Amino acid sequence: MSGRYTLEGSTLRDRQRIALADPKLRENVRKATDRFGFARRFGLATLHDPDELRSAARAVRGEILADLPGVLTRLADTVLERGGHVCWADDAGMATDYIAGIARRIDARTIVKSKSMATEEISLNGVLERDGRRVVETDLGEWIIQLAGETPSHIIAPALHRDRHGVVEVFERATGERGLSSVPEDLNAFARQRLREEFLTADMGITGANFGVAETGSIVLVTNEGNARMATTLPRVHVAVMGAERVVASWDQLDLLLALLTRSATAQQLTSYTSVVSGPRDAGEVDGPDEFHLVILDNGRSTIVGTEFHEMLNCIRCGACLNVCPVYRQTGGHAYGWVYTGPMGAVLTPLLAHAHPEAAELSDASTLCAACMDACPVQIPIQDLLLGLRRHKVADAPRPVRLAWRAWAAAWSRPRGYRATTRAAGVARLAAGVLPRLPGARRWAEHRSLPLPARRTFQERWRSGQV
Amino acid sequence: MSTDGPGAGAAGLAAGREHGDRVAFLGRIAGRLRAGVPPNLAHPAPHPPLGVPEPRYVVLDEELPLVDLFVRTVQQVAGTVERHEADEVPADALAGLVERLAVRTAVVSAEEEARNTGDVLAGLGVDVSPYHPTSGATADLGVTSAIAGIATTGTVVVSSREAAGRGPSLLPRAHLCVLAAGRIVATPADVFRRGRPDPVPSNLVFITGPSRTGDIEQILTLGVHGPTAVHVIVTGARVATARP
Repeated sequence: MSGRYTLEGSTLRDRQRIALADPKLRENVRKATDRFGFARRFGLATLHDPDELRSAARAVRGEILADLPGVLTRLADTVLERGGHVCWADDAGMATDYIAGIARRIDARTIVKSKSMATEEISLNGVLERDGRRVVETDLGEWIIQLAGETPSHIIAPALHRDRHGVVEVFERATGERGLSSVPEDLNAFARQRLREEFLTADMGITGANFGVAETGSIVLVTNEGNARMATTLPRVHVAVMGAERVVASWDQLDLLLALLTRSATAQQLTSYTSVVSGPRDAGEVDGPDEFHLVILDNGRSTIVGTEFHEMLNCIRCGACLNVCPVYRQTGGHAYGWVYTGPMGAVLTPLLAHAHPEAAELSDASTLCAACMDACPVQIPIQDLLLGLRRHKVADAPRPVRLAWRAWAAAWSRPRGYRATTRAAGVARLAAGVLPRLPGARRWAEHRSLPLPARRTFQERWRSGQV
Repeated sequence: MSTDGPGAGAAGLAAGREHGDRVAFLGRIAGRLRAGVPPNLAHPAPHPPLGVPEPRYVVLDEELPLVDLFVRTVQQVAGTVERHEADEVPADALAGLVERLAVRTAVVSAEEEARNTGDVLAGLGVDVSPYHPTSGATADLGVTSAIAGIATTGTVVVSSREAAGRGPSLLPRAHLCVLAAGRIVATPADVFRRGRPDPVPSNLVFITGPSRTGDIEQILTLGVHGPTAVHVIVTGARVATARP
């Protein structure tokens, strides 16, 4: 059960329609995003000049990416020095082959996982399960959706689309228990007991990496539940899967980016646990893995480097853009159809999942309002990147569509052309009434309400002294 | 597909092995960087600052003694904390804790402060043993020290080298951390930038309150995988005041 992504074989509109028809989902998503979005401001207010720090973080991430080969070289060398193994995974297949190979060599029966988007991206669970391994997600939210056969709906709170009764239903169906209490504390205790047994018997722990730190060959795991600590303490092998861009050169950079990550994600100054893991256990330590493997994942990332979408690689996966996005807040994450959701997903999915032609339309899942950039801890101009993706999409569109856009662009590039179109207010008022009924435009207009243009334009009123 | 790379060992540790093609992997990225990154004209990237700016904490403007601030922030993150001027943990303080948390079994980490505290606990009738994953998983209490406490965030920093393992602060139902007041610093940067153990231990964990989750209806629940309770005992008299 690695969940079901629906990018293939459905359209964005289909998926949005399903989400919009589910009032419970919409209420849960709205409550959760309101809370996250509200708390974030208080989190950042614990620091002086948070916007200055965000601006600095953007520059720092830019510097790291500009020297990405150098920083990754240093990281790999320091990991190897610490006795860790490094896998340069060009694509998903190479990463999953490598990890499945380790599982085979040590004959891993049970594998415990801590929440990781990168492993979702490469469909790791499915590969390991086809190999006969038991893969257990151990983040509470992630475990719930694994048992339900679903996919994460939010990067920080994967099961936010389910309420307590939905969780009871999933637990009872999956475990055969009956009459479980729906009090969150009790559900939590039930999960603790079940998952504790898994941790104690697991042969292998798999995590992502919030940061790789080149200076010391470390990976940093930022969690609240402690499941990532369990997965890096008890099993005899620890495998960390890290996107190639998720690296910092120094602990100074880590200090800055970590301060912004946790505040932007959950408004915490530090999460309950920030673990800095460097290699396998040292001599004299009574626990920790015998083997540490770092899988550095390209899987399409290098094709983004040096393009107009380069800055998307600055993303530190906090989820702040999801919480403020007027599109995400209506539908939740499932409508995006793939691993990465919200504004950052609308950029990453077309770039990373371009094998699916359906991915390109995700750049439409935005109003271009730029709330995402305002919330982003590293100030990625997400709306500009979405616009760029739309431009590419239109460049591939049929000739009549291209010509229509070009004509509009030409008209609005000159004051006279712009005035000519706005002065035709009467025509526009007519169009507003007629357009939705035209066969070609009906589909387009279905989910849009066209504002009725004023009888006289602002410029006309200005000239006649009315404003 | 897998080729074993060089991986020169240093510091006497057995070096790890490398798989895949490092040169090709990095070459793809370097090739694309060589042509430069197109600037974003709508929202130009700022010039890189000199060095990496350090987050400045508003709460330090109060100029509280760091120990007082630490006592406050530990409680803000749902931990409990007490302070004793003596260098050793008094037995009556531990007796109260044993009763409150219903402690019958405890595991202790390898740090001297933890072992000493374990001796006192044993004197109170608690079944105390050195930490091992098996004993730790069922223990009521895990006792550690910390290499630092962070006043602005209510954090204790536990090193696997000093503690001789990762689990004493994780597996038991509750975590007791005995921390000398002199080890309390102001901000995370005091550890990340100025107080990093060198060489860094295999596991350095920043613990900020008990294990928590909000995954069911965003309702805060403590103790999902790690300890349900974190109690910090600050010992010794040294008091430093934060620079704002």
